[in-house]
Amino acid sequence: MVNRGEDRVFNLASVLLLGIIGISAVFPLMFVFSMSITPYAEVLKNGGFIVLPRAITLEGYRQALSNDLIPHSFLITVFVTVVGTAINLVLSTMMAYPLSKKKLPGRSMFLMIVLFTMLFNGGMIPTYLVVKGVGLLDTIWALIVPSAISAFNLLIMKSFFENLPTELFESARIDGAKEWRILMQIVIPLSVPVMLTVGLFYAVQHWNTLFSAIMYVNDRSLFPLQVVLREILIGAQSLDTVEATTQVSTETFKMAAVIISTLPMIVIYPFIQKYFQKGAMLGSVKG
Amino acid sequence: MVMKHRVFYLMLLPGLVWFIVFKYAPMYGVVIAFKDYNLVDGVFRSEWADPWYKYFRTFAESPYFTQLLANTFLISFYKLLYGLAPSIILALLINECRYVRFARWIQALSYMPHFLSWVVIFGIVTAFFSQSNGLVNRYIEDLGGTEIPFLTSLDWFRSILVGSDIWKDLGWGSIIYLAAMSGIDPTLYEAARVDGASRLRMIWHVTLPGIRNVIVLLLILRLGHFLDAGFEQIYVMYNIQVYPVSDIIDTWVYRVGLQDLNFSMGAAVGLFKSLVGLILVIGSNQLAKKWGGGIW
Amino acid sequence: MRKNMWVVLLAVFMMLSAVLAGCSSGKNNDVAPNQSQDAASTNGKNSTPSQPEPSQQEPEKPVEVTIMLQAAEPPPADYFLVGELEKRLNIKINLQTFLPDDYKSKINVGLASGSAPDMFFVPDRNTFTKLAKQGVLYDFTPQMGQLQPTVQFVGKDNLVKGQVGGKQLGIPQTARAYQYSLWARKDWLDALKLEPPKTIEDFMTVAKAMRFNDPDGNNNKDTYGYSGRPTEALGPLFGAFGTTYPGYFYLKDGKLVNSLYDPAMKDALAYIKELFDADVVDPELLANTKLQHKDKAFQGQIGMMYFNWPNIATESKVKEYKAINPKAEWIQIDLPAGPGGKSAFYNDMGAAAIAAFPKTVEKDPKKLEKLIELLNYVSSPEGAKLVMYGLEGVHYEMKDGAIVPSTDEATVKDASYTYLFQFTGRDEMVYLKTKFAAVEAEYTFANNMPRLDVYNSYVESPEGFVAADATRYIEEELYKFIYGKRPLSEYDKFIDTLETTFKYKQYMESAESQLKEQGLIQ
Repeated sequence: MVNRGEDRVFNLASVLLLGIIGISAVFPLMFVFSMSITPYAEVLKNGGFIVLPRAITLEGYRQALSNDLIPHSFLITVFVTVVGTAINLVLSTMMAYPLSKKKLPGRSMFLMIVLFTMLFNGGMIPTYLVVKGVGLLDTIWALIVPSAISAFNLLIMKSFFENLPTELFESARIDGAKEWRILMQIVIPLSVPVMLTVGLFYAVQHWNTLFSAIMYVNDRSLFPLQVVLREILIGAQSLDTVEATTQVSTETFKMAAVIISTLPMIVIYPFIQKYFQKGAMLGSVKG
Repeated sequence: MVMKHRVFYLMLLPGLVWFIVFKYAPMYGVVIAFKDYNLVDGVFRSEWADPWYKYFRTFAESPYFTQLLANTFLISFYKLLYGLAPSIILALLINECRYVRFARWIQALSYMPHFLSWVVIFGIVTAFFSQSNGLVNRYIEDLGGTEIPFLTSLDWFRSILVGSDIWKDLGWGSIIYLAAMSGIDPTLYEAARVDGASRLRMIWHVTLPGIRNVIVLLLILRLGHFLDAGFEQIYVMYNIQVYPVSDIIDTWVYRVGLQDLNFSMGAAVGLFKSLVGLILVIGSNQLAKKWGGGIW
Repeated sequence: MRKNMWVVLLAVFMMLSAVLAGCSSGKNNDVAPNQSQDAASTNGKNSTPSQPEPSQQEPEKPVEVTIMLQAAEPPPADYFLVGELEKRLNIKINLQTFLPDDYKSKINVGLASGSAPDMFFVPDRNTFTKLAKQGVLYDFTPQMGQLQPTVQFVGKDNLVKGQVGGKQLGIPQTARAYQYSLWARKDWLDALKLEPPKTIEDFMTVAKAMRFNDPDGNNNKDTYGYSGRPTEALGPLFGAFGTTYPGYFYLKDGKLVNSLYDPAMKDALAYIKELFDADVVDPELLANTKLQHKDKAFQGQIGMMYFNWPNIATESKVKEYKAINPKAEWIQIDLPAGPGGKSAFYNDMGAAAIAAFPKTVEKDPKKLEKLIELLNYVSSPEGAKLVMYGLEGVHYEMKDGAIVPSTDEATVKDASYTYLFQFTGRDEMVYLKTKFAAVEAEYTFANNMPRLDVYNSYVESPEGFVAADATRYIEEELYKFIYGKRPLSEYDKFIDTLETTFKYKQYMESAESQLKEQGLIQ
C-alpha cells in the first residue's frame, strides 16, 4: 500500500478534527436540553449557565405539552411538511430536469426567469394580495402553495442532473424509451442523494414556517408549531403589562419548547444518511 | 423545433405557471420604491414620489450611508471568505473518514446548531462571551488576565458575528457537498489509486473537481444576496455600542422604514440591493463560464 | 432568427405577468367588509344592552366583529368573556392576537387589502398620526354624542390623544399606572450600615460601598452598585437635574425646551459620567435589552436598580429571588435629589393605546353601531366590572361592597386574560387595589413618582428629517460622553453636528410650530 504513513496521520488528524467539531456542535444542544429540565432557580444559583442538569424537573415539558395549541399545531406542521415537501419535489424535479438539458432552446431565458425571482421580489403587500386573490387566505394551503418552489433548490437539482453522464440518455433513447420514462426510471433513481438533500431542505423550510403563517392565516387552529412556540418564546418578554408578567414563562419552559420544536428535524437525518455514502449510487450506472 | 422538445416544455409548464402567479404577478410592487405609497390608494393610485428617486436619495444622504455599506460588505465578505472552506473541509473529513459510523455520528451532530433560532444562540453566545458572567471571561480572569468585552467592543463584535454564523451552518452546509461527493464515479478513485496517488492527491484531483460545479453554484447564488449580511442574526445580537461595526443596510431600513410604516423606503433599498445582487450574479456567472461552467 | 423568437416570447411572458398583476390587485383594493344580513329592524339601541331586544319578531342575527389585539398570549379557546360579551350584546366576536412586530404588519396588510379588522389598537401616536394622514381611519367626530359613556370613562381631557387635525380618529385608552421606581437591597444597606440615599452625593456613596465594600460578605468583588435597562435606568439621574433623556420636549419656566439644549443636561451628564468613572455601574447596562438585569439582580450582583414592581414585588417573584438567596430583601427607595429636584422619568403626554376603526366600516352602519355599543359597554359600570374582574361568583365575591377576587390558581389564571378586553382601559387604581392588594404600597409608591411631562408624541418628523439617524447619533454620543470616550467639553460641537449633518435644527423649528399649532404651548 502506498503512503501508509501519510494515511495514518491523515486518519488521526481527521478523527481529532471531527471530534472537536462534533463536541462544539452538540454543546449548545446540551445546554438547551439541560436548561429544559432544570428549575430556573437552580440555573440562576449557578450563575445563569449550566451544561449538565442538576436538579431535574419535567415541569417545562408538562407545561409545553398541556398548552392547548401545541399538539394541534404540531399536526398542522407535520401535514404541511409532508404534503408540502412532496409537492415541492414533484414540481422542482419537473422543472429542473428539462433545464438540465444544455441544448434545450430557450434554456437561458428560463433560467434567467427563475434566477431573477431569487433577486427581485414585489414585496409583502403585493404578494399578500396575490395569495388573497387566488383564494388561499386562511386555508392550510396558504402554508404550502406560496412556497411550492424554491429557486435555490431548483438550481441545485438542475446542477446535479447536469452531472449525469449523457451516455445514459443516449442508450436509453436508442432503446426507444420516452422522456417521461427516462426521467422516472433512470434519472430519479440515480439522483437519490440530491432528492434527499433537496427534500430535506424543503422539509426544514416547511417545518420552520413562520412568516407565511402569520401573514396569511388568522385562524388559530391553522397555526403551525413555530408560530405557537414563538409566541411563547418572545411574547413572554413584554415587561410592562402587569398581567403579562404573571403569565411569564420561565426559561425552563422556553427551552422545553425549543427542544420540542427542533427534535423531529434533527432526528430525521440519520435515517437518510446512508444514501450519502461514497459511491452509493454506483452500481446503477454500470447496470 | 419546439415540437421536438415539446415534452420538456410540458414538464416545465406547471412550475412556470407557479412562478408567474406567485413571483411575477406581485412584481409590480417594485414600483412602490418610486411612489409615496399610501395604504388606501394602493400601489397603482399612490402618488409618484417627488422626485422619483426621493427614497433612494434619503438612503444615500444618510450620514451613515458609507458606514452601512461598509459594514454590510465587510460582514458579508468575511462570512463568505471564512465560511466557504470549513463546510467543504468538514464534508471531506466525513467522506474520507475510515471510521464510517463515527463520521456519521459527527455529521448528524454537526448540523444541530442550524436549527436553533438566533434568539437561542444569542443566549448561548452571551453565556460564553458576556463581559461579567461569560465562561470565557471567567476563564481569562482565572488565568490572571482582564475581561474582554466581546459583545460590546468594536474590535471583537464582528468576529463574534462571523464566528457564530459559521459555527451555526457548518454542519448544515456540508450536507450538500456530501451529497455531491457521493455521486462521484468511484472508478475515478480507482484509477487514481492505481496511479499511486495519496489521500490528499485524490482529494485534490478527484473529489474537489467532482463537486466543483456545486461549489460554483452556491457561490454565485450567495453573491446574489451579498448585501443581505444576516439581518436576523445582527438584529438579535447588536446593541448601540457596536452599531458602528455592525449596523447594516437591513437594520437601518428596519429602524427607518418599518417602524414608520415607510414601505416606500423599504422597497427602494430592497431594489437597490437586488440590482447590486443581479450585477454580482451576472458578473460571477460570466467568470465561472470561463472556468468551465456557470449556471447558464 | 431563433434569438428574436425568444425575445418575443419573453415579452409575451412579461405582459402576461403584468396582466395578471392588474387583475389581482384591481380586484382587491375595493373589497368591502362583510355586510351583515339582518332582516329585522333594530331600535332602542341605547337601552341597557344586557338583554337582547324583546320587541323583535325574530331573534336578530348577531353582528360579526373582528377585533385585532397586540398581546403576548391569546386568551384560551372559548374564553368565558367572549361568550359573555357575545350574549350581552348580541354579537359574534372574532378575536385575533399577535406579537407587536407582527401586529403592525397585519394591520398594514389588512388596511391595504381592504380586509382590516373592525377594531384594532394603535400602540403609539406616531403610527396613529401616520395612519390618520393616509385616511384609513374612521372619523368618530360626528358620533361623539353617542359615545357619552366612553367619553365619561376615558375622560374628556384625554380625548385629545386620539385627535389628529381636529378630528377624533380614535379613542384613547385610560392611562396605566407608572410601574418603575428605585429599588435597593435592604440587607446590603444594613450590612454596610448605610441609609437609602437621599441626594445624588449619597447615591454615589452608597453605590461605591455596594461595589467595593463587599456587601454580600463573600470576599469577592462581584457586586455592582446600580443597574437597569438603558432606556430607563438613567431616568432618576437626569431627573435629579430637572431634565430627562436627550431629545425630549418639555416646559421649563413656561418656555418650550428640548432636553438637549437645557443647560442642566451638561451637569447631568457630568454626574452620570462620574458614576461610570467610579466603576460602580453594571458595565453591561447598555446591553440589558431584555431582563438580563433582573437575572443579575436575583443572582446577587446588583445593589440598586431602577425597575418595575410586577417583576420584583409580587409573591412569585419574591419567592424566586428568595429561592436563590433567602436573606435577600428588596425595598423601594426614594429618588435622589439634585440641583434640579427629583424626577423619575418622563411622562409622554400624548402616549396612549388608541382604539380605532378602519374607515371602511362606514359602509356597514349596523356593524358600526354594534362596535360603538361595545365600546360604550366596556366603559359602563357593569361592563367595566366584567372586563376588569370577570364574573361574580366565579372569579370574585362581593364582600361588604368590595370585590374580593378568588385566590384559586386556576381561576386567577383564567381571570388574568380579561385585560385584553379592556378596550377603553380601566379604572387603574381601583383595579390594582382589587387584584394586587398585596402590593398596594409598592404600586402606589411607583405611581406617585414625580415625572417630567414631555410632548414628543405630538411632534411629527418634518420631510427630509430621518428621525432614526438622529436618534442613533444622539444615543451613541450620549454613551461616549458617559463613558468618557468623548470629552464633555465637546458637547456644543456635538449639538452643532446634530443640527447640521442630522438636520436637527429643522426638526426643532418644525416641532415648535407644530406644538404651537396644536395649542399645547404658547
